[in-house]
Formats: sequence, C-alpha cells, structure tokens
Amino acid sequence: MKPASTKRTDSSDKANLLRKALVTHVVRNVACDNHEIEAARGEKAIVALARANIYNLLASAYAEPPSLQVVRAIADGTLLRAFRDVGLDHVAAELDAFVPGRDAKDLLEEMEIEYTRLFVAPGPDYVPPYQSMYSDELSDGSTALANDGKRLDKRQLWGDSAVAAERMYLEAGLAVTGELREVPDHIGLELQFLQHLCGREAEALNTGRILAAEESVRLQLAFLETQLAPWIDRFCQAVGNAARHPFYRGIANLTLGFVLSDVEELRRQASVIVDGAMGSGDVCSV
Amino acid sequence: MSIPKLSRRQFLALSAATAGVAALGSRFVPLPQTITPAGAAEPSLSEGQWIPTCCHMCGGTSGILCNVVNGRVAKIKPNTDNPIGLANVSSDYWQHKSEGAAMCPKGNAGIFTLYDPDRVKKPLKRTNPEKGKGVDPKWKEISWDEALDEIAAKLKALRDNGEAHTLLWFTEDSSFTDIQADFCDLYGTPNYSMHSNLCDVSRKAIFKSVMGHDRPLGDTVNSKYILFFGWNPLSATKWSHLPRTITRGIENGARFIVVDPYCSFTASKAHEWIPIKPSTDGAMALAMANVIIESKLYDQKFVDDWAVGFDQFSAYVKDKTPEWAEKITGVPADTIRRIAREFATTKPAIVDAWSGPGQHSNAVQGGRAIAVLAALTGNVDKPGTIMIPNKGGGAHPPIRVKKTDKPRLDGLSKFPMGHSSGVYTEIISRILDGKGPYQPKMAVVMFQNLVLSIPGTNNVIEALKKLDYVVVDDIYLSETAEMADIVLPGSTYLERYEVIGQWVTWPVVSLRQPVVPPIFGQLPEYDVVIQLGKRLGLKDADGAPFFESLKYEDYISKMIQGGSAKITLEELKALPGAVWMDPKGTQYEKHLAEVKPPEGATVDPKTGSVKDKDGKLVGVKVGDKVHKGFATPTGKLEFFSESLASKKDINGNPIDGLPAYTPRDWYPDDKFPLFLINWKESHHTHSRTFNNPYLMEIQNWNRLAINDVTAGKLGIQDGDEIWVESPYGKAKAIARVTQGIHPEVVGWQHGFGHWGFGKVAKGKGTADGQFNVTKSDPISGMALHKEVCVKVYKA
Repeated sequence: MKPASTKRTDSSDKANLLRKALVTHVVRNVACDNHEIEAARGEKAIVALARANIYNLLASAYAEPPSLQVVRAIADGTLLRAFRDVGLDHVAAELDAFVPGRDAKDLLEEMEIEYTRLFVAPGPDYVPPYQSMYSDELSDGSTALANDGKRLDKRQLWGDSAVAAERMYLEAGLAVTGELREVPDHIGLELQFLQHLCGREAEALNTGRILAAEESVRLQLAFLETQLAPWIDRFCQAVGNAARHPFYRGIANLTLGFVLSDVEELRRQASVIVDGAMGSGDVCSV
Repeated sequence: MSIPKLSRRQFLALSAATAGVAALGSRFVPLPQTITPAGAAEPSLSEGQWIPTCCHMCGGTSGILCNVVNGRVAKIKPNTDNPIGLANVSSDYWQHKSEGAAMCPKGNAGIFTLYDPDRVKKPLKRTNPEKGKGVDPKWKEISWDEALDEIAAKLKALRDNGEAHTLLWFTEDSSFTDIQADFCDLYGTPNYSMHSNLCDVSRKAIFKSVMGHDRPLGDTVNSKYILFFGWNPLSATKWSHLPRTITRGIENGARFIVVDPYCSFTASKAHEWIPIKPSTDGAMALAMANVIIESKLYDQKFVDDWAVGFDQFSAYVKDKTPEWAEKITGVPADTIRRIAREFATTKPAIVDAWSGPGQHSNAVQGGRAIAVLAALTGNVDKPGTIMIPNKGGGAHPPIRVKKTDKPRLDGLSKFPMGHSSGVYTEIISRILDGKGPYQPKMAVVMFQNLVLSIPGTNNVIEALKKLDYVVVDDIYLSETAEMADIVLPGSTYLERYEVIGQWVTWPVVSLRQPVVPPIFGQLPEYDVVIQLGKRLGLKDADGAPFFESLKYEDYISKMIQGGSAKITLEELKALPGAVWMDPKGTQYEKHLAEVKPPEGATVDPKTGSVKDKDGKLVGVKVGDKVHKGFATPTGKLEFFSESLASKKDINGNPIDGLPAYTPRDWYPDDKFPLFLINWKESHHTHSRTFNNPYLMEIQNWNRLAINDVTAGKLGIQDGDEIWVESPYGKAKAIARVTQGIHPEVVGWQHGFGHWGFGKVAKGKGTADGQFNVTKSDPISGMALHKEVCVKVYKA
C-alpha cells in the first residue's frame, strides 16, 4: 500500500490562470445591465465559478494545514482586503496587527500549530471538523448514566450524517479518493463537494445545458439544506471561540457568512425556478 | 462572532481577491474509476455484508462478524465458526456451536473505538522541545511522506553511526509482532520488546518449568473441581468463552473455589471465596501439598511415572503445615486442610493461577508451588484438567538475518527464566541510572501506553524525556504519545490484518482482516514498518532487499502456509468464518504418545529421560515403553528443577530447585501498612479502552476498595475522598467500603487516571502505576504491578 500523501496538490496553474482571468473579467464588467439571456447565462456561469472558488478556498482552510501561499496572502494584505470587502473589518484589523515584523516561516509554523490544535489533534480546544459530531444524536437513547451520574456523549465519527453525505457524493457520481481518505462528512469534503457542484453548474451553463445546470443547482441546495447548513453555524461558532489566531477566526466568520448567504441566494433562485422565471431579470442582480 | 451577509457581487469580489491564495486539490474522483473497498461504492446496499474477523478490544481475539453497511461498520456479533469466544476444547465446541457465542462489553463497544472522534488522524510532529507531564507538545500536522522520511532519516543516522543497537522498540504483543521483530533484526538492534512482561511472563515461567508449556489452558467444562488462585476470568475475560466454559463446568457439577485477596466478580460466583494476603498463595499451595502427601491422597502412580523430584519436594513440605501457612497467608489452617482434601479427592480437577500471585517478587516460586499441585494429583492434560494446548498458529516467515552481537539494554539473558518480550522495568531503570552497556537514543513505541503501563509512572516519564527521539504509533494521543517527537495515527483491529493461532487446545487458525479501509487513509502499523524498512533499504543476510517489494498480505499468507493450516491467505478468507481448524480436535495426554528412540540413545536411570547421542531429549521411558513426554528438561513434570537450581536470579541469589516459599521483598510496615493490589474487569483492557463512552458508562471510576473494618478504624466512609500514599507517589482517590476485600489490603481496577488520551478518559479515577517501584521479579522479569504498600487516610 502506498502511503496516503497529504502533500498539497495545487490545481494546475492553467486552471488558476483561467479562473483569475474569468473573475477579473466579471468584476470589470459586472455593472452591465444586459438582459439578454445569453449574457445572463454567461454571468450566472461566472457567479457559479466564483462560488466554486470560494468553496475551494474555504475547503482548503479546513482540509489541510496552511501553506506558505496563505501566509504570503496575509503578509501582503490580500486576505486583509478580502476580509474587509465582506465586512469583516475587525478580523482584518486583528490580522493586520498580527503580521508586521514576522518571519514568514515562523508565521507559517504558528498557523500550522493552530490548524492542528483546532482541527486535527484532539485536545482541550479541538473542534471536530465532522458533521456527525454536530448533527447526530448526543446519545444512543440509552438512559443509563455513567457512575458519576452524567450522560456520556456518544457521538462518533462516520455517523448518519457521514453516510448521508457520502450517499449524495455517490449520487453525484463522486467518491472520496482512497489516497487522501477522510471520513465523508469532514467539513473540507462537504465544502469541496459544493465546489464541484458549482463547477458543474458553470460548465453546464457555458455549454448551454440548462437542465444540467438546474440539476446542479438543485443538488447544491439539497446538499446545503440537508448536510452543510444544519451544522455550519455551530461549527463556525466553535472555531470562532477556540481560535487564537485571527486567520481561523476570520475564516470561520467568512465560512458562516458565505454559506448562509449562499443558501439564501439559492433558495431565492429556486423559488424563481419554480415560478418558471428562469432566465428572467433576476439573474443579473449581482 | 459577526456573521457577514454576502451579496453575489461580493462573491465575485471575494473570489477575485483570493484567487491563488489557496487551492485544494480534489479529494474526489469520478465514480466509475473508483472501486473503494467494503461497499462504500454501493449506495443501494441496504443490508450490507457480514465480514468474519477477530476482535482485538483485548488480546483475546474472539471470533466476530462485522456488518458493513454503506462502507460503515453497523454491527458486530459473535462468529460461531470461530471457537474463540465459544469453547476451548473441541468436543464442547462442536456440541454447542449451534447455541451461539458471546461477546464481552468491550467487543460490543468496538465500533466506537473505530469511530472515536478523539482518534489520531494525521501524523503529528512535536514543535515544543520541552517534554513533560501535561506539557503541550504543540503538535503540527505533517504528511505521511514527511513523517516516514523524518523517522527513516533518524534511524539511518543512528545506524550509519554504528549505533543501531541504541534503538529501543516497544510493541503490544498480539499484533503484527513478526514483522517488527524482522525489522529490528535487519536494522541491527537487539532491543525489541513486547508487552508480555507487563502481563503474565511469571505464569509462563511457572508452567514452562513445571510442565514444559508456557500457556496451559483449563478444560473447565469437563472438570469437577476448579481451584483458581488470583484469577478473575469471569470478568477479566481475556477470551469471551471463559465465562461460558467455567459456568458450564459448574452446571456440570464442578465445585468452584477462588483464592484471592479481593472478592472479584469471579470469586462472587464461586462456591467459596478464600481471602488471602497478597503474594502468599505459594505458601497455601505448599501446605495443601503437605496435607495431600501426609494423607496419601496424591496420585502415586502418576507421580512415579511422570514426575521428577517428588522425594525432595515431599521432604521440603513436611513442615509446611496448614498451621505454618495460616500465619503467612491469613487463611485458617482448617480451611487449607479441607480445600486440600477436596481438591485431591475430586477428579478431574483444575488448579490454575494468573496475575494475582503473578506480579510480586516471589511470583515464580509461589506459582510453581501451585502448578505442582496438578502434578501431585495427576491432573495434567486429561479431560477436565489443565491442558497443554496444541498450537495451530502461523509460523514466522523464513528470513535469513545475522543478528547483532550487541547485548540487550535490559540484561534479559541474566534473568534465568526471562521471556523474549524483554524486561521493561530494567530498560527504564537503565535509561535513568546509566548503568547499562550503553545509553539508548531512540525509541519506537507501537500501540502501547508505556507511561500508564509500567510500574513507577514518574520514572517512565523521566526515562522517555532522556531519549533523543521518540516515535509513537497509536490511535490515541496517549500519555506516552504526549512524550513523543512524532505520533503516527494507528489503526484499529477493524482496519487491519492478523493471523491468530492460539487460545484453544487444538490447532485453529483464524484471520483478522480489515472490514473497512483505514478511515483516515492511515497506514496500518505493519505498513509503517515496511515503509521504514524500504526507506532504509534493509537487506537480509544474502544482501537481498527485504522490504523493497514486500506486501503484508504476502507476508501473512506465508505465515499461514507455514503453520498447521498450510493454506494461503485467500484460501483462509474463503473458509467459513475465515477459520481453519484441525478436524482431529483436542488431543488429551499427548505425553503418552510412543516414540521410537534413535540408534545410540541412552536412558537416565534416575529420571527415565531418553537422550540421543548428542544429549538431546527424545523421550521418556516409563515401564518398558518410550513416550514423547513433556517439554521440560527431563521430559517429566518437575517438582524439582535442576535447570533452575543451576542458575542465579538477577540479583545473583541462588535459586531453589524446589518451589520454595520466600516472602516477597516489600511488606507492609508501620509507615505503609496496607497491601495495594489492582485488577481488571470485562469492560476495560489495560489502559486503552478508557475513551469509549459505552464502556465508561459501565465503569468510569476506580474507587479504592477497602475493607469495612479497616475503613472503620481509619474513619473512612464509603464515597469519602481519601489520600493514597506510597514512597513513590501520592494521589487522591475515592473510597469504596466493602466486606469483599482482605482487611490488610486495598485495591482497585487498573487503567484509570488518564490525563491525556481523550476527553472521555481524561480525569477519571486514579492511575495505579504511580505508587509502584519500577521493578520486576528476579527470575522471569515480570513487572511488579502488585508489590506496593500504601497508607490511606481521609483527604
């Protein structure tokens, strides 16, 4: 058996460039008020791609230790601006105060330790990044008490939430890789699954497959409503409380804000779709 | 916490702003290309599959079936195709197989261990150089490649520097041991050690010296009299068939006697519990022998034919009267007399002893006094007696290796009946006192919590601190992992292989196999060994790379083929319950098998031992026939051991060839007036099951049992907080006042008192090892878990 490597495997540079180009393009042209369906579809695709990017960014924050790139993005103010742009000014300020005069390698190690303390190594501040630890029943229904009179927490990994998550992955034609095996309801996997769905939506829109795009949106909403949204609040609150490092506090704030906003937006879209208004004026209301 | 509300415009801005900050390579693959094992890719599989395997919540390895539904283990139940968990003699197994088998609480709670949220999930590297109890190691997740590369580099540097022997290797003793031993041999360290010397090597030494077999098993189902010294098999189950086979014996009419300072669960089910002072069991056994011999109740023919040293023994016990023993043991002379008579006149009878008398400095001689009672009454290897098992097992795959000539750090060879598992306490002591042949530099610890398992907790912590580099492979961040430089995530028994070939009396080979892939993608321990061996390029004596292309499946397939099954791994998997068994079943009185001595063989007129011209024992002459005999130096059961008498113990003291009684070294005095003992129960194993809430729900605190009269004198009431103090440690505990313990003894269940490990385990109960001296018995090297004296007072 080959060891499962957790070496960071960046997406191809080509894909990154393309994504950057697309997004830059959108940001530059976002003010357009074009009601033509083609254009609307194109813009929807761009939004979907942007969402895919954000899901990927968030997934990477939880699925693997921080990289030097992240540290650089903190140091050069990129993340600072990003947090400010979405109204997380106090996080940005904390992050700002955190960086000056620090060696990138020291910063990286500090963040690696913080990441490990929060999401990997069980200890006093461990925030288990698995849905089953939030969504599943606290106990097996047994009323038996431990001999100190307390009910014991019997939630375990790979609970019903993990089975349900994996089922949805499989239904979407995706399986968790053997190489980087994780329990299916790890926050990183759930976020990345949404990245895949958003990517599919964008691709379907770009190739004019409206029904496939709608199917992807339906899956996104279903997954968000049944899997990710029900626990994201408690998870992010827990991270926010346990994190000593402003980066992870910021990421937790951002995750919660983004996921809740996305659910809301998808719900709104879904109601539009149900009303038969697909492709009408709503699509451009970015 | 402020939750921003993001507009779609902000989505775009955010995406643009963070492009290139981080990108996570896909953790998903499209389905058609993926075949994940164990049904993960079969969402429609609603009932799942039942996969036969073997439990490992303790070392007992009972047969189990696991129901895997949608890639998740949903249920575990007993596997009746495997006798372990049902019976230990074949007739009983075949007759009662259809009635089903049992699993103990640990086996039933196994799923939680697999899915425990507190498991170690990724390799962790220490960033805080300071080590100590409760010191945060400041772990940093690293990749498997980084972890293995770093460990291999450390090992390589040591070896290149000619210091391979300074590597200490510790492991649990019933899992993936063969391949670790190979690694140590090929790497060049003699310091490969296993758990057994923390467990029962004194019992092994006892029976090895008396009967020639180190793990005899009682045929309780067919017995009419069962006499146990210091063993709690109805609760400290070890194999989950024990509660069935012992109670079935009682149903069949056996009388059941338990001698123990504590009224264990087993004692509570016995016809009679005989409280005894700890470590004095040997004196009671000698007095029983005195009665049996004086009253001529022994089996004279059996003794004449099949034992050596009876006359010396008989002379030795002449003055070991019940009255003599009463003063030592606290057991009334009349009781000893009565038990002796009952035992000698009720046939067949079993006498057995385990860890109760086994973890004191006089364990081996005291235990031999118990074991010779079986020889005295002819209760050996017959139905209903103590049996010599026919192991089926796996054979160690052939390997050509030139072992290092460097001595072991623990001085194992100086222990006259030392066990191949080594002597942990000596290793710890040598690290600390520097009096060994060299100072060790590095340790690899596989699936063991040394800190809570070796007597003298602080010494273990200090010793680990003195090593340059410590690797721990475990499923929990144990108190030992807390001292490590690198922690590797271990696997549970539901994620890995093992071949099991012991624990019943006839040849049976069963398979432990992964029922789900390792849930965090981690390497099972044997693959860690292979990966390290590969990185180091270890070669056998012929210069061939040993680990380069080694697959563990092939390795264990060779183990199975080399054992009595002589089939491959795939063939074993295909058998019902993944179990092979010898259809001939349990064989009794195997010593009677006739053998034909080779040309030139000679017979010792005194013992009947038949030896070939090279002096190797080939049989035993009894009457005019030559039999196979027992695997002792004389081929007979030994009341007197020439072999032991010719040796000295680790302290340089001569050893009596007879099972002579001597008091243990450390006795209660005015300052520390109470014996402290410990025990185990069905709901926990060693110190490793304490994060399992299903088990902690049964028992999550080890209150200190204290006799009500003693408690009364000390003004202690049930539930009081108390101090327990020995010369080595002092800690708080909670008192459990009971009549079920000897008045001069206090005791509790082992394994509690974690300060790390997991959120369920942490802070529950009191750790027992902290009160102990870091020592072993001087003959077998058994850790002295029970040779402790304490004082107890209200907190």
